[in-house]
Order: sequence, then C-alpha cells, then structure tokens
Amino acid sequence: MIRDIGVEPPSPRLEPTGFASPAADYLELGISLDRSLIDHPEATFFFRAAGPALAGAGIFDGDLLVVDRSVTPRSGHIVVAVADGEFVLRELRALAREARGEVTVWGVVRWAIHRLCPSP
Amino acid sequence: MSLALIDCNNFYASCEQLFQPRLIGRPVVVLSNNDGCVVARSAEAKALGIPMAAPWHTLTSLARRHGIVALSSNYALYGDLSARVMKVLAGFSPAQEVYSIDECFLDLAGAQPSPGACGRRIRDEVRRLVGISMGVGLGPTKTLAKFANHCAKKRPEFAGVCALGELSPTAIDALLAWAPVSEVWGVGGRLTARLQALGIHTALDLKRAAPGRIRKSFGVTLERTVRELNGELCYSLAAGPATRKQIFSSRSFGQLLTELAPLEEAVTAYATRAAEKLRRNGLVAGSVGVFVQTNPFRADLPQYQGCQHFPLEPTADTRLLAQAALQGLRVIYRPGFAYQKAGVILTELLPQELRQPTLFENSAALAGSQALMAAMDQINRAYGRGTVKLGAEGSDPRWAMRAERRTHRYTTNLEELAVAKAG
Repeated sequence: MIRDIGVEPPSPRLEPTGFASPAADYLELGISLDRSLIDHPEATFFFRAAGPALAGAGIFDGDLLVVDRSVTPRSGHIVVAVADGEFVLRELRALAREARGEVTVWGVVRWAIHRLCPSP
Repeated sequence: MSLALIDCNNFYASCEQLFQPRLIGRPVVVLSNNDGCVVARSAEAKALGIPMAAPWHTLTSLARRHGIVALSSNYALYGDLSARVMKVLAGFSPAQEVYSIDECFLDLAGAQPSPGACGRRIRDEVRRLVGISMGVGLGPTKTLAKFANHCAKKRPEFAGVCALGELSPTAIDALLAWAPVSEVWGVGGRLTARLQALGIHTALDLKRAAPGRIRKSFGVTLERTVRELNGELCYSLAAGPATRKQIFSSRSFGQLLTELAPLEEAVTAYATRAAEKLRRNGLVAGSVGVFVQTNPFRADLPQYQGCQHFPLEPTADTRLLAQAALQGLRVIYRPGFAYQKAGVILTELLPQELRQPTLFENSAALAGSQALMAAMDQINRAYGRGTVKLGAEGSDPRWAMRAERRTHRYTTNLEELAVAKAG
C-alpha cells in the first residue's frame, strides 16, 4: 500500500552508513571442494581404498576415492569394478588382462584424497 | 499430453545390491523396523514366493534352504539413492511429481524425438548414473501411465519401457484385457470383489463400463478412473485419487519401557518426524493423537493400551505438536506396565495456505515459528536428520529400534564407505 504512493517503508534493520567496502564488488563464492571435485553429484560416490598395490598410481591404503559413474572408462583410468561379487580397484587395462569370470566396471575414480596429518 | 510413471525395480533390494555386489542374483529381503516383516524383496526372493509383509521368523527354514539374505531397512541409503534418481529424472522435464520414495510422474509432452524414445533414454541414464533399474510407463493420463508401467515391468517384450502412444488402439485394449482390474490405479482389494460381482474382471471391462453407472455405485473417484482409462485427463500432476488424511509416526521400541521419561523422549522424536513430514507436504495439523501399548504377545505381562487426541490451532510447528503429544502421553501413561510401542498421529490436515487466521493470533510469532521450522528442516537436510532437535528427544535413546542386519550407510557416512581393494 505504501509503495503505491511512492514512499519506501522505513527499513527496520540497521544499515551501515559509512564507506562501502572496496571489496564489495569483488565478492565471490568461497572455494568449495565439493564443487571442485564433483562434476556430477547424482553420479558421484565415495569409496575407501584398501591395499598398497596402486601406490605407484598415487592411491594408498585408506585413501578416500571420488568415484564418478558418469565418466566413460578409458584406458589409463583407475576404476572401481565388481569381480567375484567384490569391489576391486584396478587400472582399466589390468582389469581386462585379469579376465577371471564376469567383471563389470562400477565407476571411474576421479580423485584420491590422501590424509597427511591426522585430526589433532 | 504424455505422462510418464517411472518406478524403480525392487528399489530397496536394488540399493542393497548396488553396494553389496555379492548379493546380485541372490534372494534378498529387507525387513521392517525392528526386523519384523518383509517390506521389500529382490526379484529372486519374489520368485521363491516370499509374500510381502511375511513375518521374518516364519521364514527361517525357507531362508536356510535357499540362502535368503535378510537385511534391516537402511533408510539413509534408500533416501539418498532416491534423491539422486529423482534429480536425474527432474533433468528430463520441468514438471515432476515425486509420488513415493521410488516412483515419480514426469510430463514428457513434446519430448524429442518422441516420448517413448525419451522414456528409453531416461531408463538408460538412471541406470548408468545411479545404478538403479526402473520401469517406465507412458500414457495420456496418470491412470494409463501407471497401467503402462505395470506392462513395462511384467511383459518382457517392452524391455522396461512401455509407451502406449506407440501402440495401436487394438494393442492397447489387448493389454487392458490381459490385466486384472485390481491392477488399475486406485482399485483396491475391496473394490475388486464388488466390481467382479458386476462382471468387471479386467482393466478393459472397467474402461468399457458406463461412467454414470460407476459413479452411482462407487462414487466419483472410480468414475474418474474410468474416464482416465479412456484417455480423458482427470488428474493433473500433483493430484491423484487419494489425498493425505493423516500422518503417522510410530515404532516398536528396541526393548520394553516402563518409565515415563524414555516414553517422553520417544514420543517427542515421533512428533518431530511427523511434523517434518507435515511440512514437507505443505500441510498444517489441527489435531495431535498419541498412543501407547504393551506387547499383546506377552500373555505373562499385564496389558494396557491408551490413546488420546488433542485438538489445537492448526500448526506445523514441531514444538507445539510435540507439546500436545506429550500432554496426551501424560494423560494416558499408567505406571506398572511394560510398553512395547508408541506413536503419534496428526489429523485434521489442511494445506498451509488454507489455514484460517484466528482472532487472537500473533502474526509475528507465527512468522517466527515458520522461519524457525524452515531453518530446522534446512539444517537437518544439509547435515543429517536430528542435527537440530528438541531437547526433550534426548540423545542416547534406549527406545531406538533394532536394526541388527543393517548394511552400511555407504552414501551418507564417511566412516561407512564401501571398500575397493587394490591388488
């Protein structure tokens, strides 16, 4: 109603009236690891790596794996696969070489997150 | 108009198999709260003839013979995977109605190159991205989309996607003649017997029934079903034959409770759950009911059950609803009994926007209440259920349910992730 006659209602909030921050024009969202590491949230799942066999590829026992099902697996990718009813972690070519029974790729590992300093 | 009804196959069992691949191809059942009855079955368990709602303790010899795996319900896992499925589906249409944890309607009118092709792409995408298989039914009305979904799942020639628009009218009628009338959406067991007495046995019989006659004998709801079977749109998205009449939150306790204090915690927790459901549906409740009961199978213990309803100004505020429930509990509580179960029932439901303002209403307090509840819901959605709760709920519940066979919360808890072995 008040707007109809062109008068703004007084704001009940306290507004700062001094100098505007010179940074105000440059405000950006903070850095978010979720946004940076996860391209497809619906298709991204976390796994835990076990065993030392992929240390050469930079994946260590206990690492947190970011696994994306939307990525088409290609040679050179590290994948989570299902073999004999269990989850295994393999380089895709190695998986093809093993060829023991039915093996299906579950998802492609996009990131391995390795903890260096345990929580205090 | 082209509506799709999309329904996950054996959803709970599929969620379990996704993270426990050794269960793929094996008969799996998921048990209700407190590991009581079968609430979900894998295809293999269905093939063994295990009925829904069968009490687990009656199945133990069958289970041993066939190596049936029984699991406690893992709602954290099912809820997360359901949200992922629904989000993928939402990408295919601006109009989506989530109908249940594993079902949703999508409006696929104008989908390119055709609604049927889009349905097949949807099925492939959800399986690829989330790992869950589903059936897709497409038709000009909700009732026909539901029916097409039934065909998609039961008739292998459709390979999981049945688009009625791709079939001739004769072929559609043949499908309707194949399906018993009980498979039609909104036709329950009681109606089926009455319809059969009138010679209506198949879905096609119902389609060909005179709407006026059906209305006279069965009411307007079934008349609409007949019209929908004939392709006349009666239910738009977010409308259907049944609206919510009450919201119920109840569990059996992990152990029998005798004192008032743990019962108060349990009832506060149930009221909290029920209030969350209420707000999710955009409703307010004008009455809160609370009940307690002892274990009827313990003939050696004295038996008691009590129930009390409290009317109140329609509200969706957890605090007011829990307060009313606790008031009721204190009225019905009797010392000297071992209680097995309690529950909270919200009735007199109406949409938030239809709520009548009252004479003595404090509109600032109401706005404050709504803001607080919205904040609570948002925090609990973002950080997990129960992050913010009423103090009365307590923190180390003795009444918490038994879930001895629950698998890990693979997608919602960093400590419970699936392990992939290197080498």
